[in-house]
Amino acid sequence: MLTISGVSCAFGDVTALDNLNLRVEPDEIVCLLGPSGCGKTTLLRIVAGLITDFRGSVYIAGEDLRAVPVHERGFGLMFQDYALFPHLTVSDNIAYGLRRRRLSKSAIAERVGQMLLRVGLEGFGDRDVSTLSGGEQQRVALARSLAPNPRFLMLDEPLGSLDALLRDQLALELRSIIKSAGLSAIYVTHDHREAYAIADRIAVMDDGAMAQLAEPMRLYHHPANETVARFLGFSNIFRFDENEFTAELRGASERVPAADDRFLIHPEGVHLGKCPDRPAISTEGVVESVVFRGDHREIHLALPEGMRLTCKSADANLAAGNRVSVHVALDAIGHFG
Amino acid sequence: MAFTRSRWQLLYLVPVLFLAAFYVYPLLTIFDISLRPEGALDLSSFARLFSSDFYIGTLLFTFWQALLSTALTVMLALPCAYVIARYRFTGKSVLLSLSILPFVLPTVVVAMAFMSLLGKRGLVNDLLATLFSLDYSPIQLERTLAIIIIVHVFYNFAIALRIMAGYWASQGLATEEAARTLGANEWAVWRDIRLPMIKPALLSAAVLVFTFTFTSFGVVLILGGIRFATLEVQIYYQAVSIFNLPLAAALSLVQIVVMFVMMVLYTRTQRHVQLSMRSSAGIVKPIKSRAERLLVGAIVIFASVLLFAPLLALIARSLHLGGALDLSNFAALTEKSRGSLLFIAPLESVANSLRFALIAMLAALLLGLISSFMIARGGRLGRVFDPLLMLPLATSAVTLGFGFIVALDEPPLNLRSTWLIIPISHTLVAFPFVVRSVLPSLRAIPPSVRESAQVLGARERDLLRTIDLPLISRGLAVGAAFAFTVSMGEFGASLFVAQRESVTIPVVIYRLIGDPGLASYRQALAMSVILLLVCAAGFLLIDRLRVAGAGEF
Repeated sequence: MLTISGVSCAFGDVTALDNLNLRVEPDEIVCLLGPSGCGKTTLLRIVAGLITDFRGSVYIAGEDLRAVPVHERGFGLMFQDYALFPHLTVSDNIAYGLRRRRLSKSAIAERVGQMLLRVGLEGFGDRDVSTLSGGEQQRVALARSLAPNPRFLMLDEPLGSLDALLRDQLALELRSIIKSAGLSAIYVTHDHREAYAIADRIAVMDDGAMAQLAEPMRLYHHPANETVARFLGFSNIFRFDENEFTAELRGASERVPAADDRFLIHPEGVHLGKCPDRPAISTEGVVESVVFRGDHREIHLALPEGMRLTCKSADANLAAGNRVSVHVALDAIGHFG
Repeated sequence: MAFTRSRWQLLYLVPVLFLAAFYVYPLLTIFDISLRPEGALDLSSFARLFSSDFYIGTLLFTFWQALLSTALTVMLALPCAYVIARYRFTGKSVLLSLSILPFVLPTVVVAMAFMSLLGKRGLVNDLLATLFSLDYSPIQLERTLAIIIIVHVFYNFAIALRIMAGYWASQGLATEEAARTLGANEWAVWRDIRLPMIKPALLSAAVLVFTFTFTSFGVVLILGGIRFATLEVQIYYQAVSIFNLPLAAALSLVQIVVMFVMMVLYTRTQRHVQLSMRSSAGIVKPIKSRAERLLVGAIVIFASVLLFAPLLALIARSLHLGGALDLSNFAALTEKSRGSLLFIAPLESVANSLRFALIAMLAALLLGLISSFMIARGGRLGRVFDPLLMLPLATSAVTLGFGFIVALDEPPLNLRSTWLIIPISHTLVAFPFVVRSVLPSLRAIPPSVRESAQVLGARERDLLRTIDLPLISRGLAVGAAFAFTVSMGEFGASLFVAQRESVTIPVVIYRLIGDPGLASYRQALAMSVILLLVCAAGFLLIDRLRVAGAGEF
């Protein structure tokens, strides 16, 4: 569907993208995930045609987009701030792209009606966009970019300016609307949870380069390197030769990694107290602090030789200073690379 | 796309060429005349200027009256600004929006209004004479420094008030409250907190008021006469009455230098003020104590009297009020009064003014629109152009008018004898106003909105039609109204360039004031009221269209 090959882009002395390659398959949603400044928005703008000064090439269905100006690409793009036209009504916003395609009045009205229905805004057509809530504006922006039947959809942090509650709900809705429209899409976000929920594949970007491209599950269990792992929110990152306990973990691994390899312990694979009924390595630890997180408690442990480990627990009786036995399940160990 | 964009950018040449032909070229001609009157470098005009007590006196007087006006204006505006910024009271918003009215009132109208109020035959004198059965006019303000200063206060009070009140309103109360908890009493709060806090806005207002009063022309010419000639008035006399062009040019050069210094100072002071106006906290409190009520009441009455008494006096006088109410002054406008130096009946100048204002407005809109796009979207070109565009505003109208008659009277630009020179001069004065009205709304359009439209299939020209123009339409309308009223009331430049049949309303009023006899004076009153109504209509339009904080005025 969309092929990005060898794309590099610089602003002055700052390299925004460095020889980037990415393929988006038909009906696939790829999330570009990364911290701000990693180049994900730049990539999006290159695909949209808003940035024309770059090296490399972008193809869609075999067609080189280099010479196609932005207004002729027939893509959909949804901005983080929605960029609704403040002087137009909801209907006129949605109709904008259809008018540029010189559709008949009746065809436009019909399509606008369909779109309002699809995003759940029936009856909002004549409203002023400034009177809408954040979530409603987001739906108008989506409807506007979907209305002209784009060949390809791009979303730049579309949930970024919404509150957390609305975000979770709308992420699911977004995915189902994009899927039901049968579209391929690039979705930019810096929130890994949002990416897990929406993406078919996630491309983690770091400093203008692709750090890892994988399905959400695979990415979670096997981050390619420490940077990716840290970006995904993991903090239990160690070296196998750090101490006796890590050396023991290394010894128990199926294929023995190098001694100075780094690895990750998934917090849900750490069990306190009772030993789990799966292969695990055990040690002793002291609870340093307990953070209440609502549905679970986050426990910060001090293990022998100054090793610090974070895990989750439902046990309400744990308190700082408690001595506990710590069991790390072997399948909770994430090897990089 | 690159091609279409560069084709659009060709339009940028229009304002650039306009400024080059009608601003830079006349100004250079003035330089040329003052520095090389006979073709070779000759500084004798300057030598005369700076060795003559008379011209030094003119220069000193110009500074002195500006300084006096500025000090008085700022001192009076300061307490009013505090009350406006900090108290909630009925009529506040009306008072604030009316305060912009003097900004659009032509100098001739205001001069006439103050003559109607405080002049020899003015309302106050009549009233006092009747009240105390006097057979003379107790108040003798005509042709005094006092009335010049009073009118300057009238003009600039509101500007100073708006700048200081706006700035004050944007400051929170936290520092004041902190000082109070540390033991500061009311007096200490004023001395240690409020006055130091308002200083940037006070300075900014003072520089602006000084600039305006330094270049005051119409007010001084009409109310002061030759005895109180400022630089501006002297330039006019030298150029038009005595025809000493090198000296007039030398005086203009001095004027230009002072103005540029003031503009630089203003931009400096303004930067701080604008920055802090953004973070508006807007804390107002209701009036509680009796003392507060008295203070607010006194200030509201003072501001209203300052603003309305002269205008009401003008209208009253024009309607023969005091005797019988009638419109004979207006009926008399269809004919020239005997002995008048005018070439046309006064009323014909209304048609002239309307025609010129319409042309100037359209031209100013076109130039202003292109310039705004150039500044907002033209990258480095725009950043260079932005301050250049303010130069016509920083150049006095008299200098512009003088430049026009010395530069545009021979090929390649021989416009001196055509009426076109009048709307052109008005356009030069008016189009920076359009830019200042349009630019903020143009800059406020987020790039993502235009990009959204592009992605949805809009070409460059679709963007202009469907996004840019609708979003700046309000600012454009404000700019149009400003341009129209500015052109209607323009006096300084018009006095130089408007000839015989093509005179405008303000020029006719000035000539009528100069004519001997009561008939001409009455005609002047009636004409002033007509001009006042036109400008008030313009003001109402501007006030309706202005969104709070959207314009740069």
